[in-house]
Amino acid sequence: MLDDIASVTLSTALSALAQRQRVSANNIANLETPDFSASAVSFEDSLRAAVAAGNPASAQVTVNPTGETPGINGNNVDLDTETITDEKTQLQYSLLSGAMSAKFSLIDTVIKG
Amino acid sequence: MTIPAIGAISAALPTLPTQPALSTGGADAATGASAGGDFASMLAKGLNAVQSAQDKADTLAVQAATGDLTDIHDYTIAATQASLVTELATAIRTKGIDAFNQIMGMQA
Amino acid sequence: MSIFSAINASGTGLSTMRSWLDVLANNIAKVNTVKPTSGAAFQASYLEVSEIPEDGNGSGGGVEVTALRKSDPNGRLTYMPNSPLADANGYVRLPDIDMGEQMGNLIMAQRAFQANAAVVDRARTVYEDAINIGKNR
Repeated sequence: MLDDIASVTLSTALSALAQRQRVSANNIANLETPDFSASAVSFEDSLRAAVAAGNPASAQVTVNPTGETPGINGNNVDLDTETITDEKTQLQYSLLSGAMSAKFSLIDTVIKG
Repeated sequence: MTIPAIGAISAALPTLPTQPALSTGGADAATGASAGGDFASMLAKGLNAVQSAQDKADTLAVQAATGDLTDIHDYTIAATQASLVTELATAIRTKGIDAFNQIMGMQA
Repeated sequence: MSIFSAINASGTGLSTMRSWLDVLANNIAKVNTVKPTSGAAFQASYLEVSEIPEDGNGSGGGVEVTALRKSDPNGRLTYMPNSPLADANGYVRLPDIDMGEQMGNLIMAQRAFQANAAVVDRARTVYEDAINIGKNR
């Protein structure tokens, strides 16, 4: 059940967003760790291409260093960027999990109707 | 007229119309609706889908309990799907029994 | 444990920042501690921290304190002839603590603590949303 393109895209995106939040949490936990290099998760471009190709599950979630300039102690975590990213991730996750629930309600209506 | 034995019900209902596929994608897996499939095999396929969906949800629930589940939504999505598939199979069974009873009523 | 791992990572950040705050507060409180030249000065403490690597998810496991180091035991030789602990030449040892540096670190530690607390809050919302998928049908 639920292997149409929209549903698979939603669950793939949910997993990617959850990883983005884990990576961001780790960056912020290491805000003052010397020589720490921050990472970022990207998946949107890959997901867009995978959807266009008709197979959303094949989207790649990649974790790469941010490449930001390090500060005095070699740490390159940008707290403002991380905070904004985390806020957006949380909101996107809410949106997509709500969308998933809405699809389930539709099916429910069809079954019970 | 002899009343057919329970085991030969599928043979006694050759003209039962096939269940129309639901408009939601993938629901065909639960109904097993291939054009012309008979009621017994449809129900068997439906029950298999129910069992595998429930097993998947159970496995993820165990992972959640032991703290090994990384993505929470994997479990809640699987649990909701298992619930829906079970509802669907139940609805099919109910409708099938209703149809059978209707037909049995006509034969009197 | 990899369930709720964003909250785990932020939790390590909170503990580490709290340890740092404790160390800094103690250093600042002891900045005027006088010791005789016959012994060591009061030694300020410094934390060494490093990232906790996490196998599997590729997302890292947070931060931990790896060592507690002490500052120079010689301290600063200061001329205080009226102190009861002064030696024959009137010198005592004061700790080698730069108040400005300690206060600056205090502000950074507090900011980092608050940032980690905010992450716990946001992560909790995400996990609650996941738990609520399919609940109101």
